[in-house]
Amino acid sequence: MSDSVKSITSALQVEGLNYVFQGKQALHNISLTAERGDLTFVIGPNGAGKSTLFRCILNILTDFSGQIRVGGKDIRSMSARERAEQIAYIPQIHRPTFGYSVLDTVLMGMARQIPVFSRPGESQIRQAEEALDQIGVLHMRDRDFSKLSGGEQQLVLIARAIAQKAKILIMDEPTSALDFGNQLRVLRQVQALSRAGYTVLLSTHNPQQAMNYAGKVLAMSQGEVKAYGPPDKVLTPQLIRELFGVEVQYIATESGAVIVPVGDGAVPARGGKGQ
Amino acid sequence: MSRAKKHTAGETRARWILAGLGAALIILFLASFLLGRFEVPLPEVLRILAGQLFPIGRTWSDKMEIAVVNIRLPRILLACLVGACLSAAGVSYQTVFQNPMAAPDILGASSGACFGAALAILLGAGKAGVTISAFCFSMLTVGIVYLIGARTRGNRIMGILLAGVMVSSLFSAGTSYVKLVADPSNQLPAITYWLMGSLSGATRHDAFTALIPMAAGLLPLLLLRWRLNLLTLSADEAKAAGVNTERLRLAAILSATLLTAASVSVSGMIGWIGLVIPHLCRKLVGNNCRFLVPASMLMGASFLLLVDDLARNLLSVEIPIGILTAFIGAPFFLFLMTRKEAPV
Repeated sequence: MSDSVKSITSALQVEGLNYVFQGKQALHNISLTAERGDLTFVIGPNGAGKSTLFRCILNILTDFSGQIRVGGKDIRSMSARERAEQIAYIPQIHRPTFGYSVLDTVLMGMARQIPVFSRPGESQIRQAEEALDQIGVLHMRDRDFSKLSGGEQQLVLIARAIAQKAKILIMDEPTSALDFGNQLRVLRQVQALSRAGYTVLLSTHNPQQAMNYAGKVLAMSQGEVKAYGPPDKVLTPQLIRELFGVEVQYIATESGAVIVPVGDGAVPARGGKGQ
Repeated sequence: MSRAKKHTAGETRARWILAGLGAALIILFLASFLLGRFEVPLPEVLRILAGQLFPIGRTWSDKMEIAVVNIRLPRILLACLVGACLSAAGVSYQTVFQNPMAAPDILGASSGACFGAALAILLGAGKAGVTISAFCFSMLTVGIVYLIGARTRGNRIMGILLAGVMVSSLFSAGTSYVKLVADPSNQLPAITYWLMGSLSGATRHDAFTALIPMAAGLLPLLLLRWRLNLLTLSADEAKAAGVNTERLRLAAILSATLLTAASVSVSGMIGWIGLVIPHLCRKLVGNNCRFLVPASMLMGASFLLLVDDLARNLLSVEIPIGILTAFIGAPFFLFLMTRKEAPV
């Protein structure tokens, strides 16, 4: 297989994506390529365009210019059903008004497999249980989703995406509402999924998370890509300053670099061990 | 995997509760024929009812047949239908608007019906005219609300809700004006009495005419009952899952509106039931519409039938059912609220 063919059939390819919203350029010439098993962190401040990028990829926003291809196929030429078979969306957790059981929550993600006047059958229930099992939350199957902790809810939503049978997972700030332990649990699960062959695109505010878990980092600010590549190459103190307007330095440890703030008394301003 | 059970514990429980609600309704349905000043024993009731469908020998008097078939049957049927419809409409609106306080009158179906009925009484229409006018104005009101709401920018659900509140208040003001100009000796009491809600004087013709729009509203909700759950997904989630919730939402609103319009136009204002029966059922069978819709219909039918039995037998004069539903329902609901975790 030649290189050009290979690149065309990438799991997910975004090329020259532009999106204008109310006269404002919300996305400017965004390009990225994600292969099977890639874990890409999209990082940037609020309003950088991370969610807009995701909504274009999910084809919730349709009036963009540029190309988005899934498995080599133009996303706009696919039916809603075909798209749902390829890409699953994992939203930020929110407290639902009416609580459903965990199993019912997962089954709702599989609605396109279920005829309009019907309800989930045994095969769908089994599929949902397998997804819950894969994420390690099958024991919660009969519990009320709305009464779970934030971390548990996020894991159930991941299971819902898995049950949808899509191989590309789009996660909108999955850790933003979670406590420290749950953040790590969710990120480890995401990492395990990418190792199992899922293509994951995940947005975050937290560069440290990207440093620890990302395969690739796409740094965005004001609708533009500021940097794109492996985290240790991309996540420089200069980039953090550009994105978030704060001074940081890196301290190398045995388990990777640690990002620490500079100049506010937290650490000595100079002479750290890091770069 | 160790536990590939066919049903979850909640599902089995819900099935039993549905069966129980169904049995309660049947018992209440038959018992309601025994109530009334003219006494008809149960075996005769059963024989008379069977005689309507099959040719069997008459063992009963004409008076009995008139009491059972012409007077009690239409009223009992109508009470069941209106109770089931208002409760199903409540579930539907609550799910569409993701709002536990949503009731069948949330989009103005009731205030539109009241205005239509008041106007028809003012213009001297007969009973059928009042019902038709109430139904048409009810549908018209919700139609206006939906069109305005759909034109709002931003959050459409919120737009529809706000439009509902505004258009409702407009029609309420219209009703007040009609009452003001109505003849205080006969029209005004008629309007006031209609607004309080009553099933008295229901005929077989009434019951069968109301059945058409009611069936047209109940059937889609029953068929789509699992799918209604998808309305609780956010718009982005639904789209990403490949589901068109826009059409589903419209179907749910249209069905619920048909149900409300048909109910209110035959029974007058019967508040409370469409808000609270769904909540009681949520406590019993959970929020999954697959069980919630049938449970609410069964419980709503039983509840209104019970209340109507009281309305026609408690005092020597008929008590407007709208007053009784509030008097019985509200304290019961408050009791439930304070007893355990809050239902909303």
